[in-house]
Amino acid sequence: MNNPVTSIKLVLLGEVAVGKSSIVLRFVSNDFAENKEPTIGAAFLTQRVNINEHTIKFEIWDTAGQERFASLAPMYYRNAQAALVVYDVTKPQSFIKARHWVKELHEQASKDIIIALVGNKIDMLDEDPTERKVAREEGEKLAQEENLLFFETSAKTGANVNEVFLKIGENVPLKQAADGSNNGSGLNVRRDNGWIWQTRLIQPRKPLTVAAESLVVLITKVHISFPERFRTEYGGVAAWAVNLCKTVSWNQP
Amino acid sequence: MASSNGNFPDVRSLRSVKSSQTLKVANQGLKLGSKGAASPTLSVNLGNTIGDTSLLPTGNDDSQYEDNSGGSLPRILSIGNLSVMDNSLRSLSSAKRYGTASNSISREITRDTATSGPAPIIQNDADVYGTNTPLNTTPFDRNTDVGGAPENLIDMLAESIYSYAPSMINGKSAGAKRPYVSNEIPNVFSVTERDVIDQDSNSALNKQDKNFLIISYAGKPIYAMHGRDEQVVSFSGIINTIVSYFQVNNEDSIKTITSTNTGQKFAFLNKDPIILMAYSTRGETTSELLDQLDFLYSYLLSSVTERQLHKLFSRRSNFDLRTFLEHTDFENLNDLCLQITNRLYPDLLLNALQSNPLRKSVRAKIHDAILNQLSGDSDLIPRGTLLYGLLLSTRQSKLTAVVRPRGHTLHTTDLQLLFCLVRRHMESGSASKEFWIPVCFPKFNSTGFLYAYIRFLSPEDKSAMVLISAQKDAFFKLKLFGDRLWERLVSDKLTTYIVPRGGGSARCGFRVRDIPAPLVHHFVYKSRRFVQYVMPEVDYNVSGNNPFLDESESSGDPEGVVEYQRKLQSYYQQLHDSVVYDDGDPINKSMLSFVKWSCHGASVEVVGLAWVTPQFELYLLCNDGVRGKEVALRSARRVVSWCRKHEARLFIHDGAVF
Repeated sequence: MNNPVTSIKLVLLGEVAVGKSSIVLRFVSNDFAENKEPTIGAAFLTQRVNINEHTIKFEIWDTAGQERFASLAPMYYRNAQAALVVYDVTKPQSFIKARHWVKELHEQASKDIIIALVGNKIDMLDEDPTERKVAREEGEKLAQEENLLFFETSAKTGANVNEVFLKIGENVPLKQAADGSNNGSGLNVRRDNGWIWQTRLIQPRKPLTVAAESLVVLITKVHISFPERFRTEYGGVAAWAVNLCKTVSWNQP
Repeated sequence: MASSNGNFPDVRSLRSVKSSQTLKVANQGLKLGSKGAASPTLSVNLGNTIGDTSLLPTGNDDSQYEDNSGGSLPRILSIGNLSVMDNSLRSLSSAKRYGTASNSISREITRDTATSGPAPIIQNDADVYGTNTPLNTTPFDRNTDVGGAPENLIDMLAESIYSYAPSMINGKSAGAKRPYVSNEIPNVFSVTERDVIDQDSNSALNKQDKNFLIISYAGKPIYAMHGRDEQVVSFSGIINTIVSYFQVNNEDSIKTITSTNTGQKFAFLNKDPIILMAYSTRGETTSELLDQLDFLYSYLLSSVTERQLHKLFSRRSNFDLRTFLEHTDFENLNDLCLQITNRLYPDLLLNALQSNPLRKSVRAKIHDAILNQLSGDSDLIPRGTLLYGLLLSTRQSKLTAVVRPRGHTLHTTDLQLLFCLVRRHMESGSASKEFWIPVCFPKFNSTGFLYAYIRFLSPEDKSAMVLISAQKDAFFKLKLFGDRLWERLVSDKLTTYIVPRGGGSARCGFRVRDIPAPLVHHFVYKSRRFVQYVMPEVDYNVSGNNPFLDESESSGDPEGVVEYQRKLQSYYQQLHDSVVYDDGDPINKSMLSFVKWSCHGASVEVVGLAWVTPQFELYLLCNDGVRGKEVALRSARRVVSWCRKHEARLFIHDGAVF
């Protein structure tokens, strides 16, 4: 099946240690690592997402949050169609920095760039709600003023991470011409009756046993993203399924 | 001998000039060494200042010395049995390491013999050969034995095989000898805390046998390997005073302060607007410490660039560089310091890179593939886009292949820094990413950044491709080139050599047992021509493990491996020191030096050998139980002839030159 492929150049900006690389890691590999090393320079990653009949190829620049590399940032966002401006909901300073980035993007980047404002690390609020230092309303207000998409995410639990990218995918004009093929790998998204089914085709390196294969089917079915109203109840189920995915060991027949 | 005799008067005159510039503060036991002469008034002040702070173990009274650094002192104490071929060379050799203070040496010996217990004593048994001794003219002729009949060798071998069964360490007679070749050698060095870069109390700081400090000219601390800010601040004032005093009065910078009776050494590197200081009681030479400091300084430049550094400080001389440096920089500095102090890292000692042994034809094919790709893609990569390219394995920082423009090579230090950078990125577990990193190569151009495209080829084997460009927006060009190059390597079936499948370390690198030199524990062989070195894979076997297991699969004890590496590093460092002067100059162009380490109270003895010629340098450690120089020398010859025979395989000659 030949799907049109749209490339989206996307850049992540934000203060150091707000979780830019973790968000990307969650989106690309569905994984999380505590205490990641800070990025130096910039890292480049790609991820394909199949939304209904379309394939979107995200070309992601994960930039270093360090001030010293700020002068390099224009190089990354100059041709970008989308930007994620990330802040840490527990660090007010990072929100101030996010404002600066939004301003700079509006001044310097291309006019039709889609900017998503992302407040990360909401998982920390589950343990201690007083950790929150940037109110949700503050973020929403800034998003409204500056015409941004707004999300609060947790790269650790995976909450809302894919949604950020999907929403960006929706907002970027899709190519209609069939100039690429969809091999089914990457993230697959299907909308169905208000439910969003996100499946990730796993391509095991070794042939699977029948039992393992049925398990994969099972897991891809469980691993779905729930509509907003169910998220709190079922978010845990999804996270469990993801963890299960990781712990399954593939036996050779 | 003729040439060494000819050399000698020059060297001696050099020595005497030096000693006249050496200032001794007799009652403090401190010796200040600098190129210029110092006035005595300062030295007294100096001694008092350092004595008063009592934050570092200054060794100005004996009780403190016993408390703080007594255990951590590597004791190169007695120059026993110094059999030198020429009488005049004897004085040369003894003067070399210990300076003019032969009195203090004898003092130390008595002190050491007084302290009972397993304090290690190192016997430096140095033979200095002239360039025309029979040894050097026929280094590869196995028939010219230096005495030692074959039976003797077999005895030695047997002794070596059964030597280090754990039962023997406990003092029991070795009733149950273990029938395997021990791949363990004893540690004659005192064990200090490893890998603890913590911000601990004063006493913990004083126990450190090594520390690095970086401060600014205005006395602001920038980095300290050990020690909290408030501890470091008090030092920075002192360091600043010392360094600027010498600068004002001598127009030249102070290099070292050595305390002869405690073995403490302070080395200073004055890089206006930054001062670096190393403290060590491990007995390194001054030049070694200065090299280490220069390495740290080079790191700073690689991250900030010299131009930026001067700009920052010229605007405000009391600028706090820590606000400009990032978390990563401090982590990287910590990592470098650990690498220097607690790992097997001969790169810095030898100023060379480790190369990845590959069959000559394979390496040639890889280089051809790179060159063909480069010329085929000339529309994609216009000339000048790619400055330099490397294929490397970061597991032990080994170089596999090089692409370089004609007439250009990158400086070893720059490559060492790049290797560290790649290794750090690899450790952060981000193999699926490609990186675009601005990095300054301080020895290439210290004023500007180059840009490195880093792509990991295999997360298991930690192989990476690095392409370097001067253009900051060349990422996509280099990425495309990298993609195509990798495709070509895959289609030419060369990738298995670059990324050995299955994690088997046997295919890349070699083991000691691959070499027909049975009594060798480990060695480092450096080719001077290629500025590269090789060493066998580190076989670490925890006692109690099945010795017949492949070590690569049973290396389950990272702590032990670290300890083992550090031990090897200490041996090599002292071997290296036995053939150079304190300022790093070689004692002789060609030289053979035996060093014997022994330990009080335990029946362990380690014989090492350093063999330096204009073509190669060999540092070799024999298995425990080898006691004869002849055996060590015979093994060394076999190692050298093996390395020479396989030179094309072991070293990268030219690389792919375009």
